[in-house]
Amino acid sequence: MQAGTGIDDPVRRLVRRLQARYAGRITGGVVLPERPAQLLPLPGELDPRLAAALRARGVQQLYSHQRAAWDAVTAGRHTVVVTPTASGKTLCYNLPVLQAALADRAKALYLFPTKALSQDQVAELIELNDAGSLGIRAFTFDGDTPGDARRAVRTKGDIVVSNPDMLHQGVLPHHTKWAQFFENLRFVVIDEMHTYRGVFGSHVANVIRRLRRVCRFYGSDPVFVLSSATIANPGELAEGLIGEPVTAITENGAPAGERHLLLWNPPVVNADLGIRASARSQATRIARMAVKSGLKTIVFAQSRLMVEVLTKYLKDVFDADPRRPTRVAAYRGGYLPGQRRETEKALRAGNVDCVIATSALELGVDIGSLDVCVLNGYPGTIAATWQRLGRAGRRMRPSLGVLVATSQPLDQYIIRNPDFFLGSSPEHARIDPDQLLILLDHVRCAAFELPFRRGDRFGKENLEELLGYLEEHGVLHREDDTWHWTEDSYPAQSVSLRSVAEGNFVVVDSTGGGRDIIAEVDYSSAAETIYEGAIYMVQAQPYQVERLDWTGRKAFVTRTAVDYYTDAIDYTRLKILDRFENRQDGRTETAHGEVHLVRRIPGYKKIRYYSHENIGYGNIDLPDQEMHTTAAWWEVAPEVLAECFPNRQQALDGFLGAAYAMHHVAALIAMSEPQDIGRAVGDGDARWFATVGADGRGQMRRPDGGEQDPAQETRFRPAVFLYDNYPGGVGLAAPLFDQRAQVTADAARLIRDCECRHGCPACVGPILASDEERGFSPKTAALTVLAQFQSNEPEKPA
Amino acid sequence: MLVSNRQRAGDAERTAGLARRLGGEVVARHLILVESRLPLETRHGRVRLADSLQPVWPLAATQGSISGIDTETTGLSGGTGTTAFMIGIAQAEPEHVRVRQWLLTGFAGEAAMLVALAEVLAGVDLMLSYNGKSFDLPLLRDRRRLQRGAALPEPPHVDLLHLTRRLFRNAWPDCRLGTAEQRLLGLTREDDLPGSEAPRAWRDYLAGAPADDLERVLRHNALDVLSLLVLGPALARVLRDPAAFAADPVAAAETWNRSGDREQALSVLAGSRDRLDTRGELALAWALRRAGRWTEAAAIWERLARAGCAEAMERLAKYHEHVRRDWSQALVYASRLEEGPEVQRRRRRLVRRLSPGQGRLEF
Repeated sequence: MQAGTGIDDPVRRLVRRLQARYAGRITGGVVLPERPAQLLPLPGELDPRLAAALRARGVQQLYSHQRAAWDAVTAGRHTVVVTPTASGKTLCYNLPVLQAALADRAKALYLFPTKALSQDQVAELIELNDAGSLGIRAFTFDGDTPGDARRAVRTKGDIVVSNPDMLHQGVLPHHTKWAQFFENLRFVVIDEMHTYRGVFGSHVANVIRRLRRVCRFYGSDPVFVLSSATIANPGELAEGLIGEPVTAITENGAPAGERHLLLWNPPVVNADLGIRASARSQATRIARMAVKSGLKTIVFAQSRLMVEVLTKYLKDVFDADPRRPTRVAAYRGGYLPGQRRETEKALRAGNVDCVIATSALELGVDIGSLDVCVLNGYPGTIAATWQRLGRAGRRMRPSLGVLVATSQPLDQYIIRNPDFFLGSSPEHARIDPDQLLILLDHVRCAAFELPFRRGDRFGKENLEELLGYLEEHGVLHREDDTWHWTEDSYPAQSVSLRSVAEGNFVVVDSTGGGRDIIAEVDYSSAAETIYEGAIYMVQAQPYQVERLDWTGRKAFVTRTAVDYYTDAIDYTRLKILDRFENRQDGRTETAHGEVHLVRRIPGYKKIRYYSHENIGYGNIDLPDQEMHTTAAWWEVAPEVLAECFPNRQQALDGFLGAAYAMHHVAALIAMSEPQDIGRAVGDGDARWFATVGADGRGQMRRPDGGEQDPAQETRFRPAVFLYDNYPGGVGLAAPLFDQRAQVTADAARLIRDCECRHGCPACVGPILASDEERGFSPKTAALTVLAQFQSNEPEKPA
Repeated sequence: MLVSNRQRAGDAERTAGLARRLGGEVVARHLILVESRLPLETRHGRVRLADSLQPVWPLAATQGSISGIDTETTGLSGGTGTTAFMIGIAQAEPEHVRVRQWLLTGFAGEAAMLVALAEVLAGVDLMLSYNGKSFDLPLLRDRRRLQRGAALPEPPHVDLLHLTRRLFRNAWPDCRLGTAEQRLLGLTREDDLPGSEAPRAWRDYLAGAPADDLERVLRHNALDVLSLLVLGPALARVLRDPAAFAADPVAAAETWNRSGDREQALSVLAGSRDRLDTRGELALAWALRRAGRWTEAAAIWERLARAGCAEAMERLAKYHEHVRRDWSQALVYASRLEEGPEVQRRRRRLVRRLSPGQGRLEF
């Protein structure tokens, strides 16, 4: 009997056990039946050497999507192929590329979002090349390529495998050295296209504009072949990235085994407070059962911190005996590349039974196939959820995915409305390549690469205005109708595609006088993860941060043994600088515009393992971080608040509760990751801001962080801000303003429909028992605030 | 169009004015050529320009026309956006040294400047530069490519910075051109505009500032290329007698070896005998061995081996095994070497040869 198809399949057995024992926790589920392969013959015009190489590797026919890609690409059409994990997407671009390389030494550029993926890809190309003795030369070109090898890559490579960052900083500014390559460049392959969204995607779209501009200079016009995980708008994103019409191939012809999906809500442990058991306790339990059933398991966590916490819990179970080989591994960004490669190798070889990962493993890193995938919390988008679930599932064998909800509102909304998740299409991936700051950065880089001439186009904004601006600042010099670069600088060096941050921090282990770098932390999260006193974890080993050298970008840590982890406190205040658009009726105002934001991390909490009780505080002394960005906000006039609330404290609690629900709903509506949007409650002139205190009640704080009695404030005009969490904004605020009625209506519905009595983490945020004794319900307060927001703009009929 | 024509006329007038001031001529739109012929007796530090006719052997083997080349650029970071706005070439001729400097007053002159450069390079038999292999020439080639011009000729090119670094890395605080001028030519520049100021000077001129600083860049560049011409022969003198200049004799010997003159390499090392460190002694022993003077070489190795030098022990192991065929002595040295596959093979082979009944017949 074939493994996996029988009634005794271990995955099916696990599903039955979970359903039998935890029926109350499973709110929904679906079984996707096994899907047979859709096969088509190899194209007749395929080079016989290539066909032989394929047959030698056991490929007699193509999946329908591979064949469709061949037809489109060889016809010279830009093409995007949407394929889930392990569906043979690489052949979609390798075949036409190799064919052209064999026929007339046409060149191809492959772009992968990470170096690791590049290396996998070259290994695969070499295998195919060797199988058919094709004589095609594929090289990686990235920061690790040694100086003396670079010349050979430039002149001898048929296929150059790189990443957008290297193209941006290392190739395009030196394009004259690549002249021969660009003259013969026939294909550009962009794999994992779905990762190029938001700010990163907007940057990459501009890098591609520069690439195409350089190609035109050398007289080439390459065909773009893109591949993507499932998103709602692959064609649109591809067209946004390359600026040309793109053929989208969305029908997948690869086979898949039967897939089970369960939606899991942790049990309520305190009905009064609506408090549920933690998702981590449930995820740990499910992972434990799966591993004990002999199933290879992956657990996805939302944060690096949670990866470490879960790893510790599972290692406590499975790796208690240090003499045995480890069965549990952690995988996340911030680990050093070598360490990650080790884990990948161990996973592929089947030497690890359980891996706990962040989205770093969501990408196409080859780790082989797993049986069970547990999501500790909703990843924030439907697309990301399916991508992660896709990590489990081998051909012709059943697999299981379990989505465990946290007490976050979004999770609870999803888990209680299974049809929403199971019935919706995945989100749109959005980019805004013409965001002014990003565009200007790349106009500078492009001007360095080739002079601009009057009438040239680059993006949708008025190019001549941008060039004029750069000319005024002495960066460019206009002569006749041409703008020449004259500044003594290398502009690509100062533009990072991944974030605006200036450089990563390295974590240095100075235990026993050593100086080993054990991890990297990106600039934007340094303030909240490696402050002095923080417990920083690597593979569940805790390190205490002894000293943070902010200017030198180093954190010195020592190995420690403690029973707690640390969590930073975040104070954010905003000042409205400019209103782009607003709606007001004298009582309330809703608007969007430009804001100045100051973020301070004043201290941290120490949280004990397992009990998760708060066992202490520490102070953090770090510079404030400031940025200009765009936001949408909702304000209510003081006299209206005086009518609705007996006192300002209740109004403040109402605003904080409303903001909490609105933030989560907004992420859903804007189809973005929740962390792309920030929220804050406070005065629009940055006179004060509000935080939730340790007692679960709202606190009014002055800009210096000191607490203030709301009754004493002369200007009590609170606002809920939802801001674009990226300097300059990437266009998330305007759509929130446009859909403001839906934001407030959905937030109100989320709170109203919640089963708790006075408020809970699933609607208005955590509250304390004493709230019942306060004589008011935070839930009602939040609904009162939302009702005011809505009064301005009656909800449109759905 | 009218405005543009008037603007062009204004620019042309400004270029012409600058050319008059510099004693040059406008050879193309936005391109000035400043040319001068300096008598051979002109002093350059404590040497005379006539030195430029002295031999440069063993730096290069040429009897022909030698040129020094240097550029001034809009930046030092490289990449296609960096432009050379000035190219200076000094050429040693029988009666004088000819200096030609092309100066851009706008980007429109660049194509013509690179055409002129291509013509000059085609007639050059040896080019001397200071960091030109890594910076100036690649940059000029890149700009030529941007102009869609044919590739520049590539005459033989000696980058004096590389040689200077090898010879004086340990003796001098740095190996900048100014340092080499002071130490080897006795030239101290006065009122020299530092090279790092050049980009700003040109940018300011483009933006309408007076040309005073640009004029200083021109002087600076002329001194650079003149220095290159006399520095070639000066370095050749250093190579013949490194001890006299506190230069590294091993680096000098390596240069002689590369030129094929092993005898001179040996004599340079022997001449510095009392100044040699371990690395120098090994080089000397190696030169002796290559000259067939095995016993002298072995004597050096033995002294070094007593001091614990592993390389000397290895040499001795090979010497005793292959030259003297004294396998037990060879084994003594081989057993003191650090473990490794090669050392193990050597030891096994020696043990086998030493065991009775086996030995030579094996091969």
